[in-house]
Amino acid sequence: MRWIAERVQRHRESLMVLGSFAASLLVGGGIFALYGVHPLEAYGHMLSGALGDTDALVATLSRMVPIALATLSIAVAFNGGMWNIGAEGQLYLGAFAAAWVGLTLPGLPGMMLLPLGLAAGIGAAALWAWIPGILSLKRGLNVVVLTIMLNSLAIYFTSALATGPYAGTRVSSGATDRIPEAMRFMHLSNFSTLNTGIFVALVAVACMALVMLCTVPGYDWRICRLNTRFARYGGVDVVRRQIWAMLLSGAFAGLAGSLLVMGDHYRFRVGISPGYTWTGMILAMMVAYHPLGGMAAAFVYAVMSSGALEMELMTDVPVEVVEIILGTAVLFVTAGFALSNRWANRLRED
Amino acid sequence: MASWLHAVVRMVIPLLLLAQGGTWTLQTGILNIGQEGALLLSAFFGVLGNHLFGSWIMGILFAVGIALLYNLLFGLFCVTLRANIWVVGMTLNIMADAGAILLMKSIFGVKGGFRSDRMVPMPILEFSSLPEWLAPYCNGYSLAAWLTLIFVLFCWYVDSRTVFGMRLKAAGENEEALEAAGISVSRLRYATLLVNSLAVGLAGAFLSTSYLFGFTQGMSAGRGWMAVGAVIFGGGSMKWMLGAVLLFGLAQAGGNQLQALGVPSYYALMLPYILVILSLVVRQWVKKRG
Repeated sequence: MRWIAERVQRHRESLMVLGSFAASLLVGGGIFALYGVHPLEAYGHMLSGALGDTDALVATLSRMVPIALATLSIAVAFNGGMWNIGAEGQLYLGAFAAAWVGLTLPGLPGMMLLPLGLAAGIGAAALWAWIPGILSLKRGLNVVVLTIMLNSLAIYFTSALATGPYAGTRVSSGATDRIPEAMRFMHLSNFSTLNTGIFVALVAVACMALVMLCTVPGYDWRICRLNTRFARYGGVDVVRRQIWAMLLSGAFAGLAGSLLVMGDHYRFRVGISPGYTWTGMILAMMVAYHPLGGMAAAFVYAVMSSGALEMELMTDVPVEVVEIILGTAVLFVTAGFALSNRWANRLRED
Repeated sequence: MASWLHAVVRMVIPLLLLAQGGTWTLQTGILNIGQEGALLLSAFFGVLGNHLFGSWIMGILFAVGIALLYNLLFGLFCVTLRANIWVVGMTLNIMADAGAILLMKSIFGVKGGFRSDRMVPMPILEFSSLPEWLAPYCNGYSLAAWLTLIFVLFCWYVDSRTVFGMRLKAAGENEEALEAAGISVSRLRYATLLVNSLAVGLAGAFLSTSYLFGFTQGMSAGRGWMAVGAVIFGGGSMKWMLGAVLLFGLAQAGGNQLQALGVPSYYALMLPYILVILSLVVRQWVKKRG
């Protein structure tokens, strides 16, 4: 018995997340029942639609790439105590910057275009994240409101460029022309947009997870979030750490955007992201900003949302139910942590 | 001049309602960042109630009802459980966005937007006995405009002249002192969330049954966030919040005017956001100096 209790104590957080997710699946089952659909049938369609055969699996993986990068982008920032709600705008700006490189320097060889495109996308997005970061850390402005406003600015600005000076000539309105072939990541199958960019994403994710879990900055970020005063007392350069959290968060959003342009669509277009970073935010919060947990959550989301298409077709339950289910999971996790903190405090007081 | 005033008023109504509600919750120490989602859901339920019963009053009631539910959920997490407002607020915003689309698809079977012939717009008030020079300035506003005016005057009175208003500020500034005086802080917070639901519900119903007619995906268009910006700008003070709301409303109306003059729409749409950012920067700068 004691052995079990110790195990539970050690893996308290993971268990809470898994339990909350299971509970939210039950809530989802309730929603399906309201539609007169058997919950197991609905979840069955999700699974078979996402993992049923190789084509489906490839489509699911291709869906996972931007979601995983967006999740990590949010996780890095939130984990460091920076509420970067602006990743969506950073993604758009990064995507446009990558496309801009391709459209302005079409003559360069691929050896230069590929890294240049990625660097431009990542750099532009990181810069867009740096502005609210520095304003909040040095000037004390509210980072959430700033980043939200910068979101709208970036989305409108890139839309203005894509419909104005950079509007494509051989495409319906709202998109640029295709980027040169030399800077494209090759598609890996005919049925989806899964492309070699996934390897870039994998390397980036692995590096970031390593930094967050195994290095001093990773530890400092957590302390900055949990107790800024304590961090300062312990000699952590809070401003520097947090500005880096912001820069890296922007960089990941920018990478997601660049890969969408250079790997998936081969052009920038208005509405290139259907809210990837908002989904990423839900996922990152669900796993309490753990990078590997975030990747697992991104996979679960990719499966659910990719399979939801088949589910909507077969059962008439809208795909948006996935967001509702995962949002419920976040609420359960939050409530779980809040309650357990309360009980812990009460025990201590007794 | 009169038409310009009308344009500004139409922009200011939803912002002012949301910012007033948010200022009160902020005074008790809760920054309500769920406004955007609440506004969108209210707009949808405004259309739903209006369509089902063919009455704008039912529209408002539905909108207020859902706003109440939403704010109670927010309160349950942020007041009772003392969970992180950002996490809860953002989650609720995202869920509201998905929920509105889900409900629209399920109830009306359409994607993107919905309007129906059975809907009745909110009335527009005309006063017949006004002198001729005044009439164009006072006539032709939606009922919501006058309700907003009454609401803000009421809040201003309560805020500055009553014990309740004092307690609101005490709840934000020194919880323990208020608890020691025998007042329940949680109760006060729930009370302000309740008032906020009335404001958000009216704003949502105004948006979908008066300002525009019908519901479209994402029709709140960042108004909730602009209002949160105004609330933070005010920092709990009504005077500053009002100034910010007027500024943002003017910017939005100005943006529309630019669009009419032929400036590409996306550039015109950027104007209010640039102003919000600049005003926040300037305000902080002034605060630090003063």
